[in-house]
Amino acid sequence: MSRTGALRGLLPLLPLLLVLLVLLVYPVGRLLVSGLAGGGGLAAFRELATVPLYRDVLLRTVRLSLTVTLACLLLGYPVAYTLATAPRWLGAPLLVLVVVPFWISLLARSFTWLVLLQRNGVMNQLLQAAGLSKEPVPLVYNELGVYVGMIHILLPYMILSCYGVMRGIDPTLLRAAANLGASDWQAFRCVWIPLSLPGVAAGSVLLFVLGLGFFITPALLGGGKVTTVAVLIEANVREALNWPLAAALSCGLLAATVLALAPAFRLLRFDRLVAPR
Amino acid sequence: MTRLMGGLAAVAVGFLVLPVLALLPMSLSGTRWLALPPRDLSLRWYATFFTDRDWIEATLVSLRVAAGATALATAVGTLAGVGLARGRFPGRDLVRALALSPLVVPVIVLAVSLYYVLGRAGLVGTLTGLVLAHALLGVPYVVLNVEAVMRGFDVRLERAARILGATAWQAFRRVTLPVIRPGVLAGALFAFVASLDEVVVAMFLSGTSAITLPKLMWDSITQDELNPVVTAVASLQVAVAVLAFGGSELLGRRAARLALAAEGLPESGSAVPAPAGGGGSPARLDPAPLRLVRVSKRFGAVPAVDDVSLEVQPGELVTLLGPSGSGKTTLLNLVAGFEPPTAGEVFLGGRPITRESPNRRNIGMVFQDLALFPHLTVFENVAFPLRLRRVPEPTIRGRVGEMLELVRLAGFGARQPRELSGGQQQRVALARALAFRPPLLLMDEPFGALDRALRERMQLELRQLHRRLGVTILFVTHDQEEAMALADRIVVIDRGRLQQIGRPEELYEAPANPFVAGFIGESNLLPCVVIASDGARLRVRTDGGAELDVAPPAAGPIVPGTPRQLAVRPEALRLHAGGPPPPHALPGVVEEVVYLGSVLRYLVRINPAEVLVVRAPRQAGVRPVATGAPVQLEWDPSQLLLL
Repeated sequence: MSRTGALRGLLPLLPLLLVLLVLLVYPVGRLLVSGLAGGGGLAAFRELATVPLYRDVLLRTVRLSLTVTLACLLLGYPVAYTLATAPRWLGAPLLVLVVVPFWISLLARSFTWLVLLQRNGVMNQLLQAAGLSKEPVPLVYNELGVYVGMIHILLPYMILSCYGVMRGIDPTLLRAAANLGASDWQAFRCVWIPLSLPGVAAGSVLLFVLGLGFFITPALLGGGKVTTVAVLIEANVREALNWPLAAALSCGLLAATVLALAPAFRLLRFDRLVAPR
Repeated sequence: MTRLMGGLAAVAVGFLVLPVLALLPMSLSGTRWLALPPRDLSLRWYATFFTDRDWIEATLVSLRVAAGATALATAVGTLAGVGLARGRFPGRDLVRALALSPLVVPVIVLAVSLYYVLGRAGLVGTLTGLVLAHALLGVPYVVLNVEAVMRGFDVRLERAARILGATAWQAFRRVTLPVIRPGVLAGALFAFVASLDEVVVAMFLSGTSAITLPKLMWDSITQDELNPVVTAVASLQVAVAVLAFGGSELLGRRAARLALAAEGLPESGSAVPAPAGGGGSPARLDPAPLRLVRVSKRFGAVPAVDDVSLEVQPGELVTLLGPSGSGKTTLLNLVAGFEPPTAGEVFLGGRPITRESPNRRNIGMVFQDLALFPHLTVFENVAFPLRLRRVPEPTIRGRVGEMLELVRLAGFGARQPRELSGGQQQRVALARALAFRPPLLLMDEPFGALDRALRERMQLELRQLHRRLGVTILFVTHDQEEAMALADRIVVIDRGRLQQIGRPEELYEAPANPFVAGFIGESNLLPCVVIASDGARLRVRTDGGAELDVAPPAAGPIVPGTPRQLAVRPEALRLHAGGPPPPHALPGVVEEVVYLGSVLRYLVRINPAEVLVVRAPRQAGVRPVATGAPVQLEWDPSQLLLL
């Protein structure tokens, strides 16, 4: 009886399992298997490890992702704090401001940065008007541009991840800390920060993983000069037709994603990011 | 601290909002160089978008792909979200992780994999290929949103539908789906917006014949020197996203409201009209006996119900009384058919129903949180079981009217359940459970959430209703006062086992064991040993050293030396301060006096290890014995129970 009960519970999942099997598991498996089977895969991995160009790409991707994660933490934590502690009249519209960009086309946002940061764009006009620079500064088509674009896209994830945890912190705890003799700063450091760490950890892991796979932003704002793993995969599939290398790179990205996320998966509250409350 | 954080937050939010603010003026710029502020205002880029064939074509492709992908993702994701939120089966976490993985697996990997496989299937450059791929990306949004509303969804609503006569599919379609609809729509909305915005997958799968809007934008940016039409398209997308987000917020709020209503939070202190004797005279029901034969239910190795046999006579009102976690609700669920027993049989009216699904049992049930359907009016809630039984419409109207009159809610039919007070909601639940004239009514602590006065009122009403309808009732409660106030007979259950069955006074006067003695009313329980027996009297010594005479229990002879428990009701002791000691008395010292209005409650220490509770009526003009005073406790041997 309990077995048929369990089977009946699985019934509504059958269409999902079919979709996942046909459109996710099989294609990814097929890519990895046919790309890496035979000697091709081994050779591709060896190439990635030894050819300096490829090694640079791997290192650059990790460095970009780490830096972006750190920057988003520094920018996002105060926003989350403000969201969690602000009175409702301030918090609610602030939350809308955080979430609306989140839902605007990635392409459109990257494109807007491209225009704002270009040689004779608004940013350069402002810099020159402020007398900070005589010449237009190269703000885009380099790593700086990629940083700006990636931070802009990933920042809401960090904010919402931290905010989700901070919202659950009982404000009475801060009053208790104050009552026990803690200054504002001490209460923040000894009570608030430790209690908010799960959100920080989940957000950081998520951002790092998402950052590794970025394609649009580096391709657009990097102007062809900032090659990341994803850009390299695209080039190998569409131009070089080097499937083994593309498969090896995909395999690496997948492995990094799974390894980084698996332990944190329960911590990640995706519903906070996409489900309205 | 707050000011510093606020300042930093303002910088970060400004950074987030900047491109959004810049986009619109950029799109209105008359020049091709996309400067800010725009030099000549013009709508030319919008005009191009709405007239150029390529842009129109791409828009249509995108809309079609998004529509198809959304439909597929919504169908698959809704079922899956419900299944995941509810099911406990091995591999659930893995399935969930896989379903959400399109959110975190790099899109480039998904795109290349799908390109590889769909290319071989000849689906690159077709709408079908794009729809399939976008559906995969849309599924997580639907799953997450449906899961979120399912968390607020009370499974008891579905159980209520089942016991009212709905099949599993009917319950899903008529109750679950309407209640979670806002979440489903929100998920669909997100899937739609995500599909409209998808570019990496489209880069690979569009080919040359199915170019989507984002793909065309990408081409325009990378190959056409920052084509300003992109800003116009992006502005329109922003408008769509803002509308969608606003819509989903509204849906979310609606979902939250429905979920809240489903909890049926009854407000206390509502005015309840006095129980009336009138109000129509509905047909007496045809009550059926209920018989449980050696029923057990294990969850894993833990027995929740352990070998329980029980018979409820037709028309009897029996309460199932036990502390929380005693298995009484599980027992009720076995009768209702929500859980199959691990062993044993259940008979209703002589018919075995052990393996029957809940909707075929024809049993009425009032749930703990009532489980009124929040999306239906009071009338439709009561009509629900009748509609499932395909009762003709005029009969339904008549019967619902009769039931509402019976519970004195005539005229409330058009209300929503959440517009009613707690007591009124109770009565709707009762009317719904009785509408199809079930031979047996189950009630699962229905009055638990009510305040004391209202609870007593409802108990009285239930007794009157029971007398008039004659239905068999099995009523679960953890409140011994409620059990005694209602029941013809009480079934005491603890840790899954039957402790005693009997009329309220039997349980009080002759508890079968220390648990019943302690649970029904108050008892001083003293571990003791029988030290002497002369046939008519037993002499026992408590662990603390007090010696008392007791009448021998009815259940057989007692061998001296056996350890027993002595149960002493607080009102079976009489307190004497001063005067000569009565024949059967223990000396003690008053430790505490509690004034309870008509009675006084004393704690009297009779030796270093034992304190007895004594209850004495307050006598006008007589001062209570003071704390610290030496007293004599008189007992009547026939009033003491040896267990």
